[in-house]
Amino acid sequence: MGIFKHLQNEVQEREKREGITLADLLELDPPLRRLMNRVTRYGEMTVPRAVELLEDTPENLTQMLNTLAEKGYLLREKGPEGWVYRVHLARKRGTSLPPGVWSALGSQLQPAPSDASEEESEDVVDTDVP
Amino acid sequence: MSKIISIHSFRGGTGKSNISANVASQLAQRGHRVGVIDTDIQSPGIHVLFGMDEEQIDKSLNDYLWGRCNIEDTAYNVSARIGKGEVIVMGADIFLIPSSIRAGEIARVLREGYDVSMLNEGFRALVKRLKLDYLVIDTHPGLNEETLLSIAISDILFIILRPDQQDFQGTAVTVDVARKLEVPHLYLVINKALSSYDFADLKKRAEQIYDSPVAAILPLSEDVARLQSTDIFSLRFPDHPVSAAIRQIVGYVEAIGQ
Repeated sequence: MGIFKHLQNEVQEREKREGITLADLLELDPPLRRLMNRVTRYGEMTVPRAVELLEDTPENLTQMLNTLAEKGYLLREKGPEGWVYRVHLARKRGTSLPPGVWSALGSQLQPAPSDASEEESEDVVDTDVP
Repeated sequence: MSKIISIHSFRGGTGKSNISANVASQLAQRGHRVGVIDTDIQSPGIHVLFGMDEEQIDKSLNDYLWGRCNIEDTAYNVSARIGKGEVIVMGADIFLIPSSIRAGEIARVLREGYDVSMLNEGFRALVKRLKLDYLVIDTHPGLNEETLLSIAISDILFIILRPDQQDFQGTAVTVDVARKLEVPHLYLVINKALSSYDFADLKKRAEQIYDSPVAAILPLSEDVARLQSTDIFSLRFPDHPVSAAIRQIVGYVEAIGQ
């Protein structure tokens, strides 16, 4: 496998793991966006419910739901009456600020009492890190 | 059926939190069970309108987002706080879910981000577990992940703007995004309009520009400024033109529920 292909696969895998941002959702093709809008609004979606809401064929909607699941935008699990799809939202990333700003905030960044067990974890802020 | 209402504006300082608190309180006074959630995690403020300060906020939305508690543990019944000692009879309970005003908590959200899925699940859990008729979401101005999410899941979206060219241009962007996210009911609310303006003409022009209905126009008011966000204006001064405009907004909300 060439290096370009390898990197492309890696990017796709990462996107799949991370899920979809709402900004990504806005960029989807209109038919996929309409479907994603419904899944996001209702929390979860089945093919019969999608047919009812979007007045499209079960075949088309199954294909679209599976496409979104393959991209990592939807999570899919087997329910008693078929597949249930749920939106997989990406984590909101932290902001990079200049080191001076984090240093200035350093004294404010003490963990709360309930976080005491996390003291050893990476949640404890190193004020030298931007 | 429960409804989620988002109150949003493209720019800051439009009166979003004030309008959110007033709409929520009016709904509660009319007998609806209401939750108000402050998703302006970076610059929270709506708690002030319900008479709360840092000392009184034990758990906040931030605690839920860090997995320290359930979302309903961050809800405060603020019904009795409204009125600042004056007796104001509320028809049903109103719950506030504040964001933390501790600098460290705000910095942590900025630095580390958070799990947006949890916020999404939290909205739904609140409606269900607190048996809410309405959940009012007070958003951060502009467009970011939590704002887009609140727009995406809202049944009703009110976009607040001032009669100002910067607001006019930014609002066009928000309306466009809301259309892409297919919000079922989208309304504009014009706030801080000079009383010398022709309100009917302003409404007509805004509706033409955005192709969306204007739910209400609130006049610029020194009386609102004088209260300094220390209470719910429309409950304290029910006969004021600003309060009448708030009730107009509530009328739109209730009409959708029917």
